[in-house]
Amino acid sequence: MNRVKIISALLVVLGLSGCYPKGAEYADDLDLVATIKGNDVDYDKYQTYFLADTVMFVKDNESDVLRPGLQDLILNQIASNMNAYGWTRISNPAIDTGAALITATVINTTQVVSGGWWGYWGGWWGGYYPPGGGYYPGYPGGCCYTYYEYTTGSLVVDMIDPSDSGNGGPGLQPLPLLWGGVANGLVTGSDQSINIRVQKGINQMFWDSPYLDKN
Amino acid sequence: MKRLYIIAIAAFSMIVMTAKPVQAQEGNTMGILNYSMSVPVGDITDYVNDFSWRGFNLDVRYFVSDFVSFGVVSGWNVYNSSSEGNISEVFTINDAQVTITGKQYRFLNVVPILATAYYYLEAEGMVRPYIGAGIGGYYVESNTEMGLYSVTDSHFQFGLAPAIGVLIPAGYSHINMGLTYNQAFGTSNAEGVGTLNFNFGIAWGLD
Repeated sequence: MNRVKIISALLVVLGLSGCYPKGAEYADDLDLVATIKGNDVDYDKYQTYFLADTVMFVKDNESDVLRPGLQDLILNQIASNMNAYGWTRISNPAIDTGAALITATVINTTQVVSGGWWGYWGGWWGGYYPPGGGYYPGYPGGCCYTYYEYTTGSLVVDMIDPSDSGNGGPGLQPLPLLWGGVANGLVTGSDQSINIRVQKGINQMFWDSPYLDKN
Repeated sequence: MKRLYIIAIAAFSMIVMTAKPVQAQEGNTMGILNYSMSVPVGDITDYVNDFSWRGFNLDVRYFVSDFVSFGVVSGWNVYNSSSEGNISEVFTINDAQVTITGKQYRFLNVVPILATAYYYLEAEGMVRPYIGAGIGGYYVESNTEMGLYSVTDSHFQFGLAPAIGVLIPAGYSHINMGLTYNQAFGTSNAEGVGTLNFNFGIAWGLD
């Protein structure tokens, strides 16, 4: 009888613990796009833009390199959206000093999470609370070990006015942001799927910023 | 929340393991382990509105007479909703307009901790309809996820839970079927949470 009770209790534990509702299931479910409209910016003041020809790459792993083709894809997608919104791209900012400057930066960060028994359950449930208290997505950790490693990637697109004097004061001062966009997600999947997600992310930045539209 | 959840399940299971045949009359204590399905109602449906198949509770009742019991009930129900596709949230930070777009997942965990009183319309050995109510607190935790980020908010809220049900003798045990309306009242910084719970469980004697 006791054995039956113990088995029943275990079945209750296993059965109910497996039914916690799941969140995101696929990498692109975790894609997030954020845009910021500069404070008191008069966008009518700007009709042209200069797009920096290099995508900056910030990473925490020295051996990482920006995948070939990704830079062109990012720059072309930004230009395509800006042009569609009625902006004119210039190639020489020394001539058109009133142009807005657009820069793009890719930031890759590798997260490593390991833990004990609780980490296992958290991972199994698609958990969100690693021992350090942050958030991590529910990557499969296998049945008997608790080790998670994943890379998050962010594409940051900034629009600034290089002719602005900044905040004033001595020394280097940050230039005020005219507009900014961030596409954030997991760096996982095939090159093709990542390319599609990057393009979607850039498009979403502009859909969320109708105030940039000059048409 | 998930850690609390599994600890609670393990604790409830231990109680079940010590169970004895039920006697639901004066001087006896009865435990009911219920599977609890529920649906959010009221304003909280703006946050989560899906029917929840996930929940359970443990209802312990001490019979002060053959027709009246006092006790405690606690358990757990979780509700969730997810956006069909991307949704956009627009808000202001330092006077700047910020727009965030992505899929959104919402979870609401509700843990009642209530003192209960029930009145039974029939004596032990019969099919026993009952009415009653619970009063106490609700631990309410909401978790909103967008992208790789989540925001969690939790409150302990006062509430009431009127209930009706029926105990059906079944061998050494009883089958419980009940309907409970849980209302955790809102506060200045927490929204009220109303849920309608459909309980189906098995009773054991605990003394």
